[in-house]
Amino acid sequence: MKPSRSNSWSDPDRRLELALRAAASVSGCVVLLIVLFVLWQALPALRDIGLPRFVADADWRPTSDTQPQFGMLPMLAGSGLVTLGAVLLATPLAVFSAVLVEFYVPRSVAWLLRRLLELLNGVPSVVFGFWGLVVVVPLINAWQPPGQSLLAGVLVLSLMLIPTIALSAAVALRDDAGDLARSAAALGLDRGAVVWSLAVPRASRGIGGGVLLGAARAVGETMAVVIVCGNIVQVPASLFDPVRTITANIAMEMSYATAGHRSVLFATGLLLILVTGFLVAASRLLSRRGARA
Amino acid sequence: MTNREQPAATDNVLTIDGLNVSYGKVPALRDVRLTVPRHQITAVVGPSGCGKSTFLSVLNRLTDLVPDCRVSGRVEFDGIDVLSRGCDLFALRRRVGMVFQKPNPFALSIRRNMELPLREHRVPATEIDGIIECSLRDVGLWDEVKDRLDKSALKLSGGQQQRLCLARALSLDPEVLLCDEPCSALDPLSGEIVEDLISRLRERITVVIVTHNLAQARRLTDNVAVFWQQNGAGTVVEAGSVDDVFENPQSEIASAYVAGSRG
Ligand SMILES: Nc1ncnc2c1ncn2[C@@H]1O[C@H](COP(=O)(O)OP(=O)(O)OP(=O)(O)O)[C@@H](O)[C@H]1O
Ligand SMILES: [Mg+2]
Repeated sequence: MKPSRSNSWSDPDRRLELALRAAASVSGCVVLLIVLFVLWQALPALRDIGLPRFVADADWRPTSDTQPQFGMLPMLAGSGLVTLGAVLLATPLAVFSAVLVEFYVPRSVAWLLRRLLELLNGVPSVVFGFWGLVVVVPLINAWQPPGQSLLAGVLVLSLMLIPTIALSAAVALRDDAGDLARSAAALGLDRGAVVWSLAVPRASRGIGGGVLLGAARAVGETMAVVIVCGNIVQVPASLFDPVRTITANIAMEMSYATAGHRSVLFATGLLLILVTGFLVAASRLLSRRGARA
Repeated sequence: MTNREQPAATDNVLTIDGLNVSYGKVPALRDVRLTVPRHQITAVVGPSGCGKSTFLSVLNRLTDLVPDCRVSGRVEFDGIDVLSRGCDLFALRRRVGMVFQKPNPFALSIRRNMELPLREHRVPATEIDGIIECSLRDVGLWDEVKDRLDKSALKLSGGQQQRLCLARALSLDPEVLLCDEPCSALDPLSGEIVEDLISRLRERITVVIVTHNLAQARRLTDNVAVFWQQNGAGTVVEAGSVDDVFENPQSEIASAYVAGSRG
């Protein structure tokens, strides 16, 4: 007889709790292990080459035997510009869709639009990339060759961000849409005033949280940008120049990278983890504050 | 004949006749008849769920916001057919203001709370500051907030928030003010202040106030309408001056209901 132990194990609630705790700690540990592994792999590069050379080196020639060069500036610029462009383009469109869903269309249509946004959110990025390659790239090519470009990346990526940002914005707007509408209507305010003077400013933190979440998604997006951005290592001089992002760089070179080169790729991966982690944390913070205010 | 067309001794600003309201298929009000005399305070009393709030929200067409709410009958406000399709809601809601049970300032600064409705109603910008000060003075809030007009209205106490909402409604210079239990969410002291303010309004405007507090109704108002649930829908079972309804109620329901406040 082991009364205390058999007690805790025979209680189904307790058993479920333990199972959940175990599952949670396993997934937490796995994430931690991955980060540690990346850090471990990146360490040689950080130690032997050093952060300064990543921006100071003029070229990206990681495989050169005589004088390897590790200038990441073009990739940093690529990731930064694609993300910035996509966020700038997607945010207004996403906020408009969220406002439309929450305030303007009848309930049944709103339901449909929400499901559509959720569906769009779940489309694999390779599909977006493929679509971009067959539709967007030829259009840009006809206008300003070669087509595969910063602009193509921005367009395709912004389409992917719209549902991410719109769904967060819709949640933030929905918070007290009903009460607000009543209070405002009783003062004779029309829907335009309710939306643009009251609801959107009030939801601005939540919307900002959605935008940061979108940015995190954009920074980490790989497949779609590999397909449509052209992947040439250069700091783009115009929207029509091909660019390579950090993610694309990893995806394209990891299969043949060895030793120092490999470690550099891991270092850039570490950077991605830090940036997206920061964006997600900031997004959380902003949304949570918004909900409390 | 011209004599007959002179306004009667009690001139009614609102005339409600045969009003029915239902939410979906569920009736909330049936055959409500009531007249609301100008520049007096009319209390709407009755048990919970008998349709008092619903009645109030018909008068400024807030019922429009409830998707499946059906309203029929006649509501006349100063010669305007309130329930008609062509009724200008923007103008109606400026002339018929409303204060809710829960203070509902917008999550904006005190100044923006006051400014926004005035702007929307195209009050000239040069007059806005004056109106804001004047309205806040009316509710005794000016001295308390004049140094923090740009701070969030949500930082005010409940009683201050409610007075702000009252000031916001009054700033549009309404002819009728609808109040849905305006004091019941406040502490007794703040409630008394708001009650006092409302009682002083009768010089200027007509007030329709829903209250659960019969003592308050008696103290504060000129007329009383007793709502009651009958056959599954609310209706007016007794209406008249405070003295008539409280001292000499005609219906049994009303006499039982007001008995609590007597003696
Ligand atoms: N938006 C709504 N949708 C559906 N039914 C509603 C809605 N609002 C009110 N009702 C119903 O209509 C009836 C009257 O409600 P109302 O809020 O007008 O009563 P009340 O007299 O104000 O009650 P209380 O004193 O509790 O505030 C109730 O049965 C209520 O359930
Ligand atoms: Mg009510």
